[in-house]
Amino acid sequence: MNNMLIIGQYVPGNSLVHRLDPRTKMTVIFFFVFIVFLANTVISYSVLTAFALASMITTRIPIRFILKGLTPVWFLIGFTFILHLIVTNQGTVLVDIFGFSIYSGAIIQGFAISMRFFLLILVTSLLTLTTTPIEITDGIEDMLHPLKKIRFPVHELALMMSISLRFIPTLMQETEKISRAQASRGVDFRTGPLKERMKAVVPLLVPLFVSAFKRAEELAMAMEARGYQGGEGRTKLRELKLEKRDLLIFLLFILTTAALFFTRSY
Amino acid sequence: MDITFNNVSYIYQAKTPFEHKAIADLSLFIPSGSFTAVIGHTGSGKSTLIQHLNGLVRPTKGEVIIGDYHLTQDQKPDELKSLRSRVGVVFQYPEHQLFEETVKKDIAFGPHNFGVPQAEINKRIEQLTPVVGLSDELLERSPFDLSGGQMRRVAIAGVLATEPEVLVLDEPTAGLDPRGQREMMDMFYNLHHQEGMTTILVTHSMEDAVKYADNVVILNDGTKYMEGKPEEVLTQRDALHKVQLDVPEMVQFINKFSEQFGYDIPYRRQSPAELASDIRQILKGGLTNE
Amino acid sequence: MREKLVEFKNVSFRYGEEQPWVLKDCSFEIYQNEAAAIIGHNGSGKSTIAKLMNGLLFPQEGEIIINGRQLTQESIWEIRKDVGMVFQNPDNQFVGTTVQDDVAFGMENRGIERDEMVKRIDNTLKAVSMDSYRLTEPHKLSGGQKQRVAIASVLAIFPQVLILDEATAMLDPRGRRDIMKTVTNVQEERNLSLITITHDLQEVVQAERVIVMNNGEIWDEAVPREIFAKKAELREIGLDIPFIATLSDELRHAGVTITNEALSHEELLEELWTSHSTT
Repeated sequence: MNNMLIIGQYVPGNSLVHRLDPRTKMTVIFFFVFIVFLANTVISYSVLTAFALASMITTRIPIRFILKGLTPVWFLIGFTFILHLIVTNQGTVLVDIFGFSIYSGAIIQGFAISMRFFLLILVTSLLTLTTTPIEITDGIEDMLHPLKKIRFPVHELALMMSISLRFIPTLMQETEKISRAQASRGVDFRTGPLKERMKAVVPLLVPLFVSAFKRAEELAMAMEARGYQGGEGRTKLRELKLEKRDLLIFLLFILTTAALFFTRSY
Repeated sequence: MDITFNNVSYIYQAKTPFEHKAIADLSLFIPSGSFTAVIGHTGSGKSTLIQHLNGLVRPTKGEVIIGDYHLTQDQKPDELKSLRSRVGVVFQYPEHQLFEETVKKDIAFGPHNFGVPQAEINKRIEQLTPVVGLSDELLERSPFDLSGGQMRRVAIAGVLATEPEVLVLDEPTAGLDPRGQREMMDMFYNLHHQEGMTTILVTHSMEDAVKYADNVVILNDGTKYMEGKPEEVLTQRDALHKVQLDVPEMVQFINKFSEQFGYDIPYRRQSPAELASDIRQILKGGLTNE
Repeated sequence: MREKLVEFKNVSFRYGEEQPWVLKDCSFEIYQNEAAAIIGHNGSGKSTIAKLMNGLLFPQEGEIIINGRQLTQESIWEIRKDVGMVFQNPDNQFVGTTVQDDVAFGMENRGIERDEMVKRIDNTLKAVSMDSYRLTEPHKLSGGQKQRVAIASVLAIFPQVLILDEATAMLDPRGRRDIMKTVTNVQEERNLSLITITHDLQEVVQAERVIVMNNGEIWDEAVPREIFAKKAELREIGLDIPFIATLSDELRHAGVTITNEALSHEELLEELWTSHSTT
């Protein structure tokens, strides 16, 4: 359970990757996800892997920590690999086990798919490992900006996201408090038949909703009192600025992409 | 039920970077039938202490004994439920725990969970409503239609309806107006005497501690800082200042008085009227001396 | 004579046609640089007054004038610049994901330039002694610290009036003391009117003028000394009396001559000292 939480949990730091503009990171990752599917030779895979591993090392987050965070994903990768071994029947038969023939093509195919999977997860988790949720929100707001023309509520969406982020810890504390109070009144959340345990959720959820609504109401009032009237005419303290390092990374990424195109087979 | 803490430590999220010691080597004794006030700042370990009292957490080290129930790191009483039915806890802002459709159902929720028969529950509710200051016509209303003060009374009735032997009160008057505060504390004080309960009051109010408690525990940094009778503990100005607490206002006044007039007035939890007559005696006596 | 900043003229308010009146025909004034306290039992209408002052609610009857401007749907945004408010629950008014974001929120709403924002964040966080917490997230702050941030975020707009709507009610004594110290400092430095809505007697005694609410009506309006002279009546409407006032009364009952209405320990001791040495 703990490992699950580590995927994507922000690790504070001051590395190059940490300091990159969130838009840079998101753009690079967005395109990386596409070009991963273009790799089809050992060298082209190596190019992409090198890029991913280099980024990972640059974050200065302990590699053990990152890989451990991927534990649940390892299982999926392994599963994909085995599935391919069984299903694919291209190339020559290498071995026969219990009547199953394992083909050379299966090994290659399985390896390729697992590798893609691994690279995808690794690179996307680097985004959340090195970027605070609020930076991601800012980045999304900025990148969705053109959608304002078609009346898409970009600012409202971003504000909603940032307020949710702000209130997650508060609501978690609240949940804990209420479940303590109800446990003291004899509710058993942990043992007993499933049906009973499902019923035990009601005394937890009702107060939680009631308090969340009350908070929302008070928050809305406090925001209004502080002059909030929508996105119109608002300035921003958080400013996103592209620096030289962002250009550098874009350049590196373009080079990587070019290298990929040279090394893949057509 | 006597309550004993033997060298209790409690560590949150042990062995992670977020490790945090909430209670450290805490030993204390709360005699059965006493009215004990627990005082300390936010973060002094009060809320962790409360959670030990009905088995919501178990000590990381040491042992908590409540009546016949023993709580240690590796053993938990088989009958956590029966412990919880005998130790009632009124948490801070208890009105946040209400959830049922009607006031009556909400009060019945605790005793129902602890297996009290419905007829008995009804009888208890009937007796309790006037005690906590609720009128009968409210019983069929939704708790969410009531005022904040009424909701709090419903929540408290819900805890009292299990007829606990130990009643733990975590700042039960927070957010009430002065009259509401007074009424509520008087109610708990009366209940304490009528029912012979052990009452544990967690509070910031020195005045309440002095007025109601017969035993005081001061917590600081997760451990016991002082313990004893209110008139002994709560008069030690310098010791209390060290942990950023103040003596009750009357003690402050008596201290200033004796500095200026050179007469000591012993503090014995006297009422303002009694203090007034103490002062009159001194002023008169001073006059005859001159 | 100081200038009027807030003026209520025969204001009545209720939440709906069928609902009872929460405020009934209230008239009062608050002046520039004044520290006023509003007290009253829960449900007496004191928080409603606060919400009416910056247009979070509108009265059904009567007029509200803030800084020379009548409060209407059109003027609320201007008026909200003049009237800053800190609410009771520290958690439910903290909008930003960090301290500095929260202070910025009000300024962002008013379109203040970024450079100016940074400057004001600096100044106001120093004024409330929270400048070392600039990047801290709210769940790592105590209630008192959050309230100090709330005060900073109001100050950043340079309001004329600061309303504390039971802002210390959910804090422990230490948090309460910190807030009171902060507010006193700020009020001296910035020429603010301060309106404290509270049950805390300490806060009431420090006010220049007290407005007592009872069942939606103004029950009395005077300096603290005069208010606390009416002990029996105050108790009757559910309010508390400072210890010193109670003791003075008991001394009188016991036959000690007390002529002045003491509100502090020193005043009462002084009084006893004089009567003791002259008799």
